[in-house]
Amino acid sequence: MRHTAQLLGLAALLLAGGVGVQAALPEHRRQPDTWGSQQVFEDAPATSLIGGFRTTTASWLFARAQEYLHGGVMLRAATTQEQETGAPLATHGDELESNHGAETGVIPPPGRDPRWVWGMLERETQPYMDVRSHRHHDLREALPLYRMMTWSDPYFVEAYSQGAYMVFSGAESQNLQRALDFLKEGLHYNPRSWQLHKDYAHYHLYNVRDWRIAREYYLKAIKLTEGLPEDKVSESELEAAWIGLVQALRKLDNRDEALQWAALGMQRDPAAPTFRRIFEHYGVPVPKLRNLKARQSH
Amino acid sequence: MTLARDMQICRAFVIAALLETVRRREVYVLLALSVLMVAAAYSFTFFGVHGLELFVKDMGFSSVGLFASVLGVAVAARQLPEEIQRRTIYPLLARPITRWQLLVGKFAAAWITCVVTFVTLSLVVLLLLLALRMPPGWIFLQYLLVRSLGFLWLCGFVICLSTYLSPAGALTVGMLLTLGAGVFTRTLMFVDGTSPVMKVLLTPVYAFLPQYSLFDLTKKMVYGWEPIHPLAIAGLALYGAAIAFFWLRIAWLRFRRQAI
Repeated sequence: MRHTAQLLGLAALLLAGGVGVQAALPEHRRQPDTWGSQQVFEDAPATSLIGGFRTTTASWLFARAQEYLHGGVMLRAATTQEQETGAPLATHGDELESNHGAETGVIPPPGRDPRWVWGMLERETQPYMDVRSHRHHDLREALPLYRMMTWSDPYFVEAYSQGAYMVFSGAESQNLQRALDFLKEGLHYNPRSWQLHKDYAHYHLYNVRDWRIAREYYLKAIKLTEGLPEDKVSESELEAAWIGLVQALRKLDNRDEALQWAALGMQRDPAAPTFRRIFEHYGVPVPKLRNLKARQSH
Repeated sequence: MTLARDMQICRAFVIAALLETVRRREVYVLLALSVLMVAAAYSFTFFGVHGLELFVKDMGFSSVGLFASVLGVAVAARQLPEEIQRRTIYPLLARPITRWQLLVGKFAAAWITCVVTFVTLSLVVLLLLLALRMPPGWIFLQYLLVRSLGFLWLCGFVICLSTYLSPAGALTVGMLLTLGAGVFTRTLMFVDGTSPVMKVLLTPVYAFLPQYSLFDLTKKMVYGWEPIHPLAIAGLALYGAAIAFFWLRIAWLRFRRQAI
C-alpha cells in the first residue's frame, strides 16, 4: 500500500513537473507550423521532448478522429502495386469533400484478401466496409477530438482547418460562427499559416459574403506562400486561394486589382476559366500568354 | 472416469489460481486503472468538451482489453515456472497426476483466471458507462464471449512459451506477440491477394500466426455496429479450442521429458 502511494506520488510529481517546465519554456511558444520549426526542436532538446508529447497526443487524437468518421474502419495509403492492379480506393459518397488521396481499407475486400477464412473472420469481427463511395458517420462524434487536439497542440494547423470544416459542414451541427471562432483561434497561434488564412478567407467569400475580409486574408495567404518550399504548398489549394482572391476583388468591383491578379493567375494556370471570365466581365480582351510574360518581365 | 478425474484436477488448479490472483492484488490495480481511464476521458466534459460518448467508451473498453491481455500473459507465463521454482511441483507430481493433466489443469486455471478478470473489469466499465448514460448495446455480450475465446489462444500459446523459454523470456515474447498480434498478421497482407496460389499457401500459415486481434470486438462495440453472425463466433470457438490444444501439445512434447 505504501509503495502504491509512493508510486502515485511520484507520478503526480512528474506530471506537475512536466506542466511546470512546459509553462516555463519560452521556446514552446514559437511557431512549429513554420518550416523553421525543426530548428527550434534541435536548439532546445527539452522542447523537443515535451513538445513531442503534445504533438504525439494531438496526432493520436487526429488518427482517432479519422477512425470515428469512418465508424472504426481504418484506411491506409495504397501501395503502387495496389493502385496499378485496381484495388478499391477510398472515395466519399457524401457532402464531405476532404480529399482521401490514394487510400484503401486496411482490411482488404474478399477478392483481394490472401487469407481466405481468416479474412472472412476479420471482416466479420472488425469494422469493415467497401471504401468506395463511403459515407461518414455523424461529424459531431469527432468534433470534441478536434477541440482536444488543438488544446494539446495549438500549432496543429490541419486540426484547426479540418475541425472548422467539421463544425460547419456537419448536417446537424452547422455553426458558421463557431467555425470562424475556431479558425480565428488557429490564426492566433499560427499567424504564419497560409492554409488557415486561406480557409478564413474562403468562409468569408462563400458563406459570410464579406468580400473585404476575404480579400484581406487571401492576400495574406498568398503572401505567406512566398519563400516556402514547394512541398509545403499544395498547388491545388493555392490555385483555389488565387481564384477566391480574384472573385472577391470582382465582388468589391475593384477592377484594376482584379485584372492584375487575374493576369498573374493566368500565368500560373492558363486553363483556369475564372481568370478569363474576369477579363470578359470587364470587357477587356483576354491577354495572350506571351504578352503576359513580356509584361511581367518589364 | 478419466474425464471426471480431469475435471477434478482442473477445478483444484482453477481455485488455486484464482486465490493466487486475488492474493497478488493485481486485479485491484487494473480495476483502479480502468476506472481512472474512463474518469479521465469523461473529465474533459468539465472543461466544456461535450459529445464524448465514443471517446469515453473507446478509452474504457480499450483499456479493459489491454489490461486483461497483460494480466493474461503474466498469469499464463507463471503457471508452470512458479511451481518449479517453488518446488511445489514435486508434491503435485507425487499424486496420481500425469504431466499432461498438470499442463491442462494449469491451462484451465490460467484461462478461467483471465476470463474472470476480464469479465469483472468489463462489468465495472459497463456500470460506469451506464451511470454516464452511454450504454454499449447488445453486442457487449458477444464482446465478452469472443474475447474469452481469445484467451484460449493466449493461455495455450504463453504456457507453451513458458516451457521453452525462461519466465522472463516467455513473458516478454508473449507480451510482444499478444499486443502486437495485428502487426504480425498484417505484414503478410501486402502480398498479392488476387493470386489463388498465394491463398492456398498462406491460409494454413495464418492459422499458426498470432491471431489474437481476431477475438477483439471492441471497435464494433464502441462504434455501435450490429452483433456479428453466430457462425463467426462458432468459427472462432473452434479455432480457439484447436489452436490452444495444438500449443499445449507442443508444450507437452517439451514438458514430458523436462528434468525437474
